[in-house]
Amino acid sequence: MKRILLSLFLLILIFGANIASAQIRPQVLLTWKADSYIPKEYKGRALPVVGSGLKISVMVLDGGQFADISQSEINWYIDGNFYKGGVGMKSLSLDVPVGSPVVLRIKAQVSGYRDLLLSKTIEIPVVRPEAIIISHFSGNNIKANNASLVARPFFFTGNSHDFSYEWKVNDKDPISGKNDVLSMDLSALQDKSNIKVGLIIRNSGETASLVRNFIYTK
Amino acid sequence: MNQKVKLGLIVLVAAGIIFLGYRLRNRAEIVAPINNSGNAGSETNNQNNNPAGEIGSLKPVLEDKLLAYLVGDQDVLGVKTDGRVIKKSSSKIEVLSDADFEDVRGASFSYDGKRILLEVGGYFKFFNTEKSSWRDLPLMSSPAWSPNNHDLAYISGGDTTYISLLNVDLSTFRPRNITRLDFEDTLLAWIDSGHLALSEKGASLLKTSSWAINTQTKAWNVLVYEKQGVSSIWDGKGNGLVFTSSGRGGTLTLVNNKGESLRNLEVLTLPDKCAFSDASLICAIPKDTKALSGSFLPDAYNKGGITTEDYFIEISLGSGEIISRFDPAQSLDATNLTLKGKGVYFINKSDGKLYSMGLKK
Repeated sequence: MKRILLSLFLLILIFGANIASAQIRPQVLLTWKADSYIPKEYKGRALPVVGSGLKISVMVLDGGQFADISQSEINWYIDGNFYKGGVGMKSLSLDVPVGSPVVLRIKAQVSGYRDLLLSKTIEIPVVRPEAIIISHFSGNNIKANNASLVARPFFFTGNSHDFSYEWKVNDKDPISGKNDVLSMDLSALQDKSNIKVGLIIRNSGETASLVRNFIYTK
Repeated sequence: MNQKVKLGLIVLVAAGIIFLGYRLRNRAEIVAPINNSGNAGSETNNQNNNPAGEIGSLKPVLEDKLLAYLVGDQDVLGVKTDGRVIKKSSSKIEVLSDADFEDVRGASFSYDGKRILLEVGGYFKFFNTEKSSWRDLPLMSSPAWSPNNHDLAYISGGDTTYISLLNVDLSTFRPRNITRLDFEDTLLAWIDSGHLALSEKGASLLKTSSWAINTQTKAWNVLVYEKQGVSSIWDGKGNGLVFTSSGRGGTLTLVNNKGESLRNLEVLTLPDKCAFSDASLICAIPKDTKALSGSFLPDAYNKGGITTEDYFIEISLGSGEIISRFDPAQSLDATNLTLKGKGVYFINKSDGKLYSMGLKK
């Protein structure tokens, strides 16, 4: 009886260990990069807009090491539809098409590695060009009669970044403000309780706008 | 023993083994945190008696706009926005490098301040303070200084990319490739002297992941798995501070070198507004809590669309409790902090200058 029990125990041990190792499936990783414009000092992510170039890469992490999938069949899908595929096609490049949804769903399917069918889907947000107004005062307060605001464009397409800036202060053209810096002389304003600053940034047919309200505080 | 009991025991053992198998499998997918060394505010190892100013009062250390600085025992080094390198000792300011460059994008100091990395128009070079010389570096991205030598970890350029290590003191550059990398838009940082953190750049509405890489065994493991708004700093000794968001605002978590959560902090700020010291963490916290809690982070702050007016807190790494709070008399938006001796040093985002403030200790 003891022998039977011992054999049974060993069998279960081996069987269990096999199950454990078989369950550690390789992990598919998808990373991407958009070529949309961001200011050079911005350390965050460049998000794609319609027309942006997008490169997505796939890697497979297996047992703590990256696997060689250069001989594996890799198929790419966008929003559920087959887009491209081929042996060792580890990256996909595309321009974000006009009419794209606000989120692109990209799927990579890897077959032939360890006789497994592996896949991963990621969601890439598609945003619009963005205009930012930078004030060096805290919150929406302006604490000096002479104040400067700075415009920063984000997420525009194209290689030419010949931005033009249009400023409005309380819906009127300011005296100074033809480029990315708006210099304001608040002493000329009658009502300083609500200073409405409008900004439009244009580049190669793309436009982004923003309105910020400031309060003058001594 | 009754045979049924024995059989029952066997079934229990089998169930335990299978359960262990599932646990092992899931361990590889467990979320745990990460990244990015705040190199601009790194400090040398020795404690000092830096006169950081009177308690609570701000003191400008250097009048120039700085990209990076390092507080030593007797002096302060700074890299100006045009790439010039200066040193302030007592009240004397010395120019270590007068070379100025167009399109300077970033700078960082090696652990001992003797080597300075400069990013110029997408290329990198370093300054040797002992030889007063500049040297161009190979094509690279996301370089990060080792916490204890003159090794640079970076992602190599070219068609085939690697995570590589390069000792900049070698007369001929011979990088050591750690692993091939088919990753896009990532950042490198040192978790500790033997582990690198590789992170996808985060954004508030974007799920990203981070991984730890053992530079010797080349083994990878997950630090952060598909979290929104990820941004982080590491102290090079295995302590990490990770920010994650779920829309507006977010959560700060202290983590260990495996990315495992140690505790969530009760305050809201961003890792770039915090710095580790030996046993504590100092953070600049916005006085107006809505400044960050109502914003999509870290994007809104990093884009410059919001500014904050901060006070400082010091948090015990051991207990997570707030040890002390310091309210500066003046308005400031602090980044790139260094806790040194009896003072905190930081760059005021509003004017780009380096300030210090004495702390009650």
